Parts: sequence; C-alpha cells; structure tokens
Amino acid sequence: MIAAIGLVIGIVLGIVFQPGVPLWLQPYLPIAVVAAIDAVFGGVRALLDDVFDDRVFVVSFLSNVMIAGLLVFLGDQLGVGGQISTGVVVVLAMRIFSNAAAIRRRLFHA
Amino acid sequence: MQLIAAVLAGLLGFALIAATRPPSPEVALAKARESDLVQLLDDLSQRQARLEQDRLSLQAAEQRLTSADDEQRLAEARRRATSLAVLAGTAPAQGPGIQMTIADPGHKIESTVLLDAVQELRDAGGYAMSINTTRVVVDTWFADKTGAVVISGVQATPPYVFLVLGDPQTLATALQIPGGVADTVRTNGGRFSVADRDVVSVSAVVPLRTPTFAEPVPSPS
Repeated sequence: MIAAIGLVIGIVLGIVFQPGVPLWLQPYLPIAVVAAIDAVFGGVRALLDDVFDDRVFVVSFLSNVMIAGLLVFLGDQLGVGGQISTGVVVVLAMRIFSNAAAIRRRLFHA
Repeated sequence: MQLIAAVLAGLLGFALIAATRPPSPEVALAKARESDLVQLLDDLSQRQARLEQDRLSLQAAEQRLTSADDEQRLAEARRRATSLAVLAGTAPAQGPGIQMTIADPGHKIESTVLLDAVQELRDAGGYAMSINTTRVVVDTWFADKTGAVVISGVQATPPYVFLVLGDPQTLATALQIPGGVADTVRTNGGRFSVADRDVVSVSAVVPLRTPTFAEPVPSPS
C-alpha cells in the first residue's frame, strides 16, 4: 500500500517539476520505464495472491530495470539496437499482459 | 523494505512523467539510434546535392539570358514560341515521321480504336499528328456515329489516314507490338498499313482560341 502512495507521489512530483531527461539517459529511459511497469504489475499480482514480499518486489524491480538497460546498451554497441529494444519491449509487454490477466481474474473473477 | 518499495514506485511515477513529455526536436535527435541518424544524414546530403545542381543550372540560365543581347533573346523566345505552337497544334509542322492508314471496309472500327492509336503514338514519341483533316491536340475528343467517327466535332470517314511526326523507327515498331494498334485493327476487321517517310507534312491546324477566364501572368515591370 505504501508503494502505491509512493507511485502517486512520484507522478505528482513529475507533473509539478516537469523534469528534463539528461542526454545520456535518453535512449534507456523508455525501456526502463516499461521494465519497471512489468515489475509493478508482478508485484500487484503477488499482492492479490497473498504472496507479496517487499524484498522480492524491490529486487525484481531493480533487476528488471538493470537488465533492460544493459540489453539496450549491448544492442547499441553491437549494432542491433533497434531489434533488441523491440524484442525487449515485446517480451515485457507479454509479461504485463499475462500479469494483468491474472489480476483481472482475481479481482473480477472473470 | 516497504519504504524502499515506495521510493522505487515514486521513481517510476517520476520517470513515467518525464519520459512521456513530447520531445522537442533537439531531444528527438538525441533519442535516435545511430543507424537512424546515419540515414537522416544521407537523406539530407542527397537533397543538398540535388538542390546544388538546381542552383547551378538556374544560375547558368540566368547568365545566358542576361548576357545575351536583345537579338539573341528574341531569337530564343521565337524558338520557344514555334515549338510550343507545333505542340499546341496552332502551327503546321514538317519532319520525319510515318503515315498510317486504317481502312475500315466493314465499318466496325470505333472511336476507342482511334483513341488507342493516338495514345500509343504519343507514348512512342509522336509530337504532332493529324487524322484525315483534323489536327490532334491535347483536347481532341472522339465519338461514334453510325458509319463514321467524329473527331472534335468534325466527321471523319474511313479510311483513316494518320500523319505523325516523330522517330519513324520507334513509331512503326510501337504500332506493331503484339496486342498493339495493328492487332486491334485487324481483330476489328480493318486493314492496317504503315509507311516511314522522310518528310511528313502536317498541315492541319487548330485555331488559336482566346481563353474565357484564364489570363496570362502579368510580366513584372
């Protein structure tokens, strides 16, 4: 629950301060955001299944973001940046969808 | 731990807002991948080369026209006027070309066949042509009447004699391709013949019409 409050506070701060993204972070931010959203959905699903663990959430969040960033960086260095980022986004979206489906089934029994 | 989770979620919210702001043009370039930037650079270089060429040719034209004396400029203008008149059909023309005859003993050749022939001849480079006594220009139209074809209001009866100016080889070959004009005429029961000529004289003209609404662009003075 505290995490949800934290999310809201973060969004509000973002709207208030209108941050500009530093240049070196530019290519990685969108993928990192999608990876973080995937971790959050996984956390919500765990919450609804009563198996939520703070530590698991934090570790999965950080590792998702790190791995996504590393993959994009590696892809750019190898010259397949576009393809790797597409692949990463596709996989993350699939996981988001499956987590969202589980949440939906749990919430609405439908 | 809970606090850390909250902080991470906060960071996510913050980053979400930051990442979804519409990027300004410089930021969009900074986000692009290297291959995209290379392609962009390529496109821009090609465009620059093309525009440079245009600039050079326009400069040369300006040079030519401003340094020529009045007589040369007048001669150049007259040359342009003559070629435009030939293309528009207001002046007679002479030159190498072909004479094509479509005989129609069974009266089965329709306007579509003649229109096809005109299109094919134009595609093959015919720049001035006449059918019987009518000059064929941009707005020539064809219609059917019993036993004859009406060309721009003038009735034309078979045999239809085409006089066409252009490269004789190309014109004659274009007419004889399988499925071309020769084949269509024969399928419709007509007789087709074509002859190269060194000099074809297209004497039919169309009168110069004054436009009802269009006006020439006023010259800057």
